[in-house]
Parts: sequence; structure tokens; C-alpha cells
Amino acid sequence: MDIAIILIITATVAIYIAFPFFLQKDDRANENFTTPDIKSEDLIVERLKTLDNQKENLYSAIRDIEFDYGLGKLSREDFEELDNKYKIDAASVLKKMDEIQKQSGARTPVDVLEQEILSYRNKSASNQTDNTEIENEITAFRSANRKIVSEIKCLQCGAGHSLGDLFCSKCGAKLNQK
Amino acid sequence: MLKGKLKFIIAISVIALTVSYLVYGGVKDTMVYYLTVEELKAQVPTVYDSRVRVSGTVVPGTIIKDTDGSIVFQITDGAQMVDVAYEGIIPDIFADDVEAVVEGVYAKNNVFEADILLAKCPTKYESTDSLYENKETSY
Amino acid sequence: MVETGSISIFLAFIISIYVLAASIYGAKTRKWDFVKSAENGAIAVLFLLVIATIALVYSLINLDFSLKYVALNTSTDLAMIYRFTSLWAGQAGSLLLWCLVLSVYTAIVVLQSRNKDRQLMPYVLATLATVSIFFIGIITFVESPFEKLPFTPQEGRGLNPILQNAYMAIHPLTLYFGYVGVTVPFAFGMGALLSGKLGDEWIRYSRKWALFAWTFLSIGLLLGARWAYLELGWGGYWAWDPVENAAFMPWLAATAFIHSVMIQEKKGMLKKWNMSLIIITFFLSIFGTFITRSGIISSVHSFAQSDIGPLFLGFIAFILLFSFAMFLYRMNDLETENKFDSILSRESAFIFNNLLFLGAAFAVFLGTIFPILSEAVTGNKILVGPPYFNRVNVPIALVLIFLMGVGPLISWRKASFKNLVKNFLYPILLGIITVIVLLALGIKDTVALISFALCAFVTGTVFTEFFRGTRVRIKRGENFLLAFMRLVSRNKRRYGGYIVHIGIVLIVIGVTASSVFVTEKQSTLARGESMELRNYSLRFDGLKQYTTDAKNATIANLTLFEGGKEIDIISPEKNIYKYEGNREINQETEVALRSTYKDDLYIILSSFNEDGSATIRVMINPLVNWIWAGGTVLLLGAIVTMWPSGRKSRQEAFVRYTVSDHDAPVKAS
Repeated sequence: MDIAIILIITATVAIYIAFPFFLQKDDRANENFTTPDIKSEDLIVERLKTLDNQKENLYSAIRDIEFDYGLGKLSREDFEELDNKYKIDAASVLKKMDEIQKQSGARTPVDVLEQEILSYRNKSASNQTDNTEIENEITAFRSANRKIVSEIKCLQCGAGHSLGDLFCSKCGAKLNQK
Repeated sequence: MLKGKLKFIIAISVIALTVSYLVYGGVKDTMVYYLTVEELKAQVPTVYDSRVRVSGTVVPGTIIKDTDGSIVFQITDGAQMVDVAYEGIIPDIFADDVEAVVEGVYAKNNVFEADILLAKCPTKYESTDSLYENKETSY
Repeated sequence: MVETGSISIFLAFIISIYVLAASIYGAKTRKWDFVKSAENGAIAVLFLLVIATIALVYSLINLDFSLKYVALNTSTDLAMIYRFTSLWAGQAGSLLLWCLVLSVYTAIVVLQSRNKDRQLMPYVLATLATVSIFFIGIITFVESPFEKLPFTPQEGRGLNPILQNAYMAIHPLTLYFGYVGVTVPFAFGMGALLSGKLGDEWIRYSRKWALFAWTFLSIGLLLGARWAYLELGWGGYWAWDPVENAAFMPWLAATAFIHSVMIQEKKGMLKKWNMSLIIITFFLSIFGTFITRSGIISSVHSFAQSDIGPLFLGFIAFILLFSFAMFLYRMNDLETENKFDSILSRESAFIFNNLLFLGAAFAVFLGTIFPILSEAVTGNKILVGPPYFNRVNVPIALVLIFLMGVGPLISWRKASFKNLVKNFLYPILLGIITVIVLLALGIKDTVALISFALCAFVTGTVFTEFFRGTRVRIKRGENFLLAFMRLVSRNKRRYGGYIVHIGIVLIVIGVTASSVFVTEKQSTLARGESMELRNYSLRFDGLKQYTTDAKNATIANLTLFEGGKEIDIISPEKNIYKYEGNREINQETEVALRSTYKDDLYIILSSFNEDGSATIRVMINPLVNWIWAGGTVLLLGAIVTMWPSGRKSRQEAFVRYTVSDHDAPVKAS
């Protein structure tokens, strides 16, 4: 009796382990990392996830410093410096995500985010937190897309500048781009 | 910048030095020699009145309980024996032939005055000896 | 069943070797099917170890005495539940449990991380496989739970009565969840070193695991302390015993780790530090289990003297050498982007916190191995006991408590004087008021005063945080309750962490009070006589004896008076177990414990005499219940920090919708 069980177990385990080698060629299991084809499903998914992760980290960093500033733990100068830095980084991440989505022919990101809201409204109405957050995101996203001009403030005089600017056009101070 | 870094290095050194000092002082002041009965007897008279820990097996029949809860007994390492007087909590496992550890002071009257008494199981945990005994009586 | 179990373990060993080889090969040659096969292998190992565990449990429940492990740990009169818990009562069984837990964690890591990071994950898996190979190897070749005896005894040796107790049943489990849990962040760290992905990824993915392992180590330590308090009968809960220290050291390092990773996440600093720290934490965890199992340091706890000691040492040496070699290899790539600005900042508070925790871990480590070290160096065995450990750790602990209050409130980068005053004024006042009140109440002990003042200080800072955070949200239009709940749920890590700190404060208060203000008295009483301690009085009303199937019991009946008023009947016992010879302990003292939040009355029947008199020992331990209460608060806070935040599912939805427009209808996640 034991021998039979042992044989069954051994066979099951062996098959399960060998399984990935026998999957169909066009299945993702056999895919090679170095495929340069950017249209490949997996790569898009992976890149978007990494970028989305970065985006989320930056958003939560922005939330954190806003919170700390509100609690008086961050000085105004420090807050503005960090805020600028994070917003620049976030805008560039969003831009990269935008590019990937354009290349892969997907719908525009804004439509996608609206889909998200719909899916969450369908779930449970009490998930207000997420909705508010998402809506804020869209607003932020839209303004990041259209109004990047006023995203960067000169730390000396407060004038607004666009992403590529290096020096303040008003007072001549160096814009903190990092 | 460098001044800030210097402050850091100083602070970290202070912490490291303080901890080292605590450890050093702690070890120096609280270290206790762990002796066998033979070693204890061999170190007379220098060992008198200094705090040491001694381990040995309880000599069967030597445990005497006083009405106030204190006990006297003898421990041995196979070669030598020593008298022990102890007052305090007595471990449940303490009995004849048990491996005991006492900590305290060896008084000049050759009685070890212990204030700590620990006892350990006499048989090795994984030993199968007792099972063989069971086997004998089972049929 | 036994053969099945045996073979399953052997197969698990072989497959673990395969997992190691295939994951590395697949990662290096970028052949995804090898990696996938390795992942399947990890799941297969779990499957096999579950079968082996079921086989052993089956043998234990059915008292199959032909197995050495069953014969040593059970007996025909053993209750069913303890037949099950004897699974982890002995060396071989507890090792099998360790392997099982490790395989569960490995499988979860595999399943969680499908598609997460193809460069990193195979090396994480390889590391987990390496550790598995060692442990499974031991139970396959050295300490097999399925080892048979040359004959079948009619009766087993039985389970030590001390282990037949609810706490002892759970305590090893929680400790193992913690000990083994440390392996996962370590594997992620090694994965980062091996794959070259030296950014934040390894920390982000393993953060919840680190918290999880830390939580279980904390719970395991507290349960062990509670068990010792209730069962060992000396009125204390911590003896700085080597086995206790074995669990305490990784806890100290893990606490340092979960704090310093916050700095890396927020500021990108301390990369090298975090990597070294997780290696040290893992080392301490394995070292801890080595001390416990090998009997190399004699302890009242030790399982056994056994052969696995040298094997463990070999494994530990290998781990240390390999990890630090990889670390040195990658050291240049672990550069940080940011610098420290000021010594008066949150960053430095965290660094000091880390240094102190590691300092404590080092001190405990040194104290624990001192006998071995001294014997090797001087030929004399020298040991250091509780006085050493307390003397070194109490000052460190006090500074850490202080930092616990300072850390959350002090600003990042550089704290200005204005900022310091604004944040710390009220908590400092609270601390000072506490000292004044305590002095007025007659408490003079310096350490206690400092400890209580610092606890008040920390409590003040935590309440400040909650209050201010809620106020910010109220200003946005939420009502108080909603603001508070949203505050915590939107910042689970931060506020969960504060709740944990409150738990720690409660524990510290309990430990301080019960260490400094404990009183004790032993008297021999004849019937009718009383003894007094503080404002309690105990009247000895006589001895009573009864027998059950298992034991002959002697009870001392005592009536308790407080301030002259009769409040309770106390009955400490002394039991003699009838079945001699197959138990190590046949005499058992049952403590009578009367617990309130003010103090514990701990009463022991030390001995009784033929004339009917009894020796009673009484201890008053103030505020001990605060320790266990603090532990519960700590657990709640830890759960809050680990609670999922719903962010991941949004990310999934986002990605899913992005690619769903494609021709090929393949699921994106």
C-alpha cells in the first residue's frame, strides 16, 4: 500500500516539475527575456507595473511630506524643495507610462483611469477613500500632462517654470531640477 | 558638511564606547567561575568567600529538608564531594542523582552556601534507555 | 505511512537541490522555463513536507511506538491534543516543523511574486532553497523523525508535564514562525546581491515579511515569558537563559532592521547598512536555533546534546562567509544618493536606534557565548548571569525608550530649535510631572523614576501625533471619529507603528515595576498562623490531600486578607505524579496566582512537614499584567501595520485595462 502511494507521489511531483518544459511554444512560459519586441504582452505588463510602483511611491512620498508639513515637522523650504523634486520625478514617470501605452496601442491613460473608477463604484460604495484618491490622481495626472509649465517653482522668487528650464527667468537663480 | 559628519562620528563613537564600557564593566563585576567539585576543592583556600558556580550530581540520600524550607545536601563529580546549604525555591526536579548547579560562596567551614539552585534532567533527553526497561516488563 | 513520510522527506531534499540548480541556471541563461520549473519544485517540496508531517502526526496520534520519536515523546496516557503538539516537542519533530514552515513561506513567496521581478526572484528562490537543503538534509540523514527502533516498546516515555500546557503548545510555533520568517527578507537581500538589483526592490517586497517575522518573534518571546512565569515557579519571567537569549538576539536585530528600512525607503540611504543588518539578523536566528538544539551552552532549557551541533556550525560559517563575500563584491553598487544633514534629525534618531539595538544584541551575544569563549581562551569556564545582562541592557533600553519618543516627532533632515520646542514641550512636561507625582508617592528608585518618566514622555509624543494628525483631517471637514479612523487607515504603517510603541511602553512599565518593586517572603506556618507582606496577610488554614489517576496532590488552603479585609482563598499545590520512571519530573509545584492590574500575588507551597506545617513563599509582583496587556496592544499595532492597503489591486486593475485592448486575449495578471 505504501509503495503505491509513494509511486503516485513521486510521479505527480516529477510531472509537475517537468511541466514547464513541455508547454506550447507560443505560451508565455517559454518566453525569453531578451525579446526586443516591445509589443510583447509580458514586457508591457512588467514595465507598467514597475513604473506604476514608482508612481505610487512618489505619490505616497508627496502625501507624506504634505502631511509632515501640516504637522509642522518639515520647514517650508524643505517642503517645497522635496515637493518639487517628487513632482518632477512623478511627471517623468507618467510621461514614460504614457509613451508605453501609446506604443502598445492601448487606450489613453485618462480613459483607463475612468474605467478604474467605474469598476470601484461597482464594487462597494463605501470604498470612498480609493475613489477620492483616484479622482485626485486624475486631476494630478491631467494637470501633470497639460500644466507642467507651472509645476516647478523657483525657490528664490516663486516664479513658475516648465520642466526643461534650468534658470529662473525672473531672478536668474538656478532651478533645482534634481 | 564635514563638521556635520564629524559630529556624527563623535556621536557614534560615544555610543560604541559606552556600550563597550558597559559590557566590560558588566563582565568584570559579575563574572562567575564555573567549576567542577574537584576544581573547587583544588582551589582552596583562594576560592573561599568568592562567588562561584559549581555543578555536580546530587549524592543519593544526602538531601535533608529543614522545617523552615531550607535544605542541605551533597554533590559530587564522581571524584570529590562537597556539602551544600541552600535556602530558596527548590526546583521540582531536584532529587537524588539529579545534575545540580549551585551558585554561591564556599565558606571557610567547607560548606558551600548557595543562593541559586538549578537542576537538570539526569537522563539525556533523547536517550532510549528507559524504553529498554519498558520492553523488559512488557511481555 | 512511515515509509511514505520517510521517502517524502528524501524527495523533498533532492528536489530542493534541483530548485537551487534550476533557478540559478534559468536566471543566468535567461531560460524562463527552468525558473518556472524551479518554482514548481518549491511547491512540490511543500506538498512533500505536508505529507511527511501528516505521516508523523498520524504516527503520534496513533502512538506508533515503533518510531523512536513517538516512543520518546508520547505515552498511552497522553491526551490527544498533546499527542499532536508533541510534533514539536523533540529535536527531529521540531526540525520537520521548521522545514514545513520554511517550505510554506517559500511557496508563498513564489506565488506572490509570479511576474514581479524576473531578475531578482530566481535568486531569492535559490537562497530559500539553499537554507531548505540544509534543514531538510538534517532530517533526512541525521535526525529523522521516522527513525525506527529495533523493537517496539509497549509504552512510550511520555511528554514532559511541563510541556502539557497551552502556552507551551503555542510558544514554539510562534517562535518558529518568527525565526523562519527572518529567512525571507534575508533571501530577498541575497537575491538583490546575486542579481545585481540593488535598489529598493528587495526591501519593498520583503517589508511585510520582516514585520511578520518580527511580530511572531515578539509574541513568541512574550508567550515564553508568560509560560516561565506560570510554570517554572520562581516568580520571574525572564532569566537571561541562553535559550531565551537565542530568541532575543534576532528580535533585537530585526527591530533595528524594520526601522532602518524606513530610512532607505524614504531617503535612499543606509543601503549597505540594511544589507549587513539583514545578514546579521538571519545569522542570529540560525545561531539561536543552534544554541537551543545543540546543547552547547548548558541551559535549563536545552533539548539535547546531539550531533547536529557541528553541522549547524558549518552551515552558519558558510552563510556568513558567502553573504559577506557577496556583500563586498557588490559594495560599490550600494552607494547612496543622499547624505545626512544634521545630527538633530529623524535620520540620526533612527541611526542611533539601530546602533543601540545592535549594541544590545552584541552585549547579549557576548554574555551568552561567554562560557564557551572563556573556556576556549583561558581554559576556565566563566559565565555571566542576570546581573551582567541587566546592567548592560537597562541603560541601553532607557535611551531607546527616549528615542522612541523623539523619533516620530522630530523632523527630517534638520530640526530647528523652534520645531523642537513646538513638538516636545508637552511630552517633556508630562515626563517631569510624572517624576514629581511619583516622588510625592514615595518612589525613590532612580532607574524606575527615569523609566516611568520616559514612558510618560513617549506616551505624550504618541498622543501628540494622533491628536495633530486627527486635527489636520478635522480641518478638512471630517468629524472626529471619521478623521481618526481615516487617519489610521490611510497611514497604517505609521500609526500602527505608534500603537506598537504604546504596547512597548506598557511592557516597559510592567517590567520596571515588577523588577524594581518586587517583594518576597518565605515563612513556615503552623495551622492558623498568618504571614504578612505589604498590606496583604495570608492565613494558613491547613493542608488537604487528594488523588486522581495521575497524581497525588497536596494543597495548602490559605485565606487572603488585604488591609484586614478577607478577599480570597488561595490554594497552591504540590503534586506527585504516580507514573514514575518514564517521566523526568515526577514532582510538580503548582503556583497559586492571583492577578490584578495592580499586582500579582504569587504564592508557592515550597514544602510541607509531617506535623501539618507548611513553608509558604509569597511574592508580590507589581504591574505584571501590564506586560501581557502591552503584548496584546503590540500585536494589534503590528496587525495594523501589515494590513493590506488596497493599492495593489488598483495597480492590477490599471495594468489589466491597459492591455485588454489587445488582439491576443491573454490575461495580464
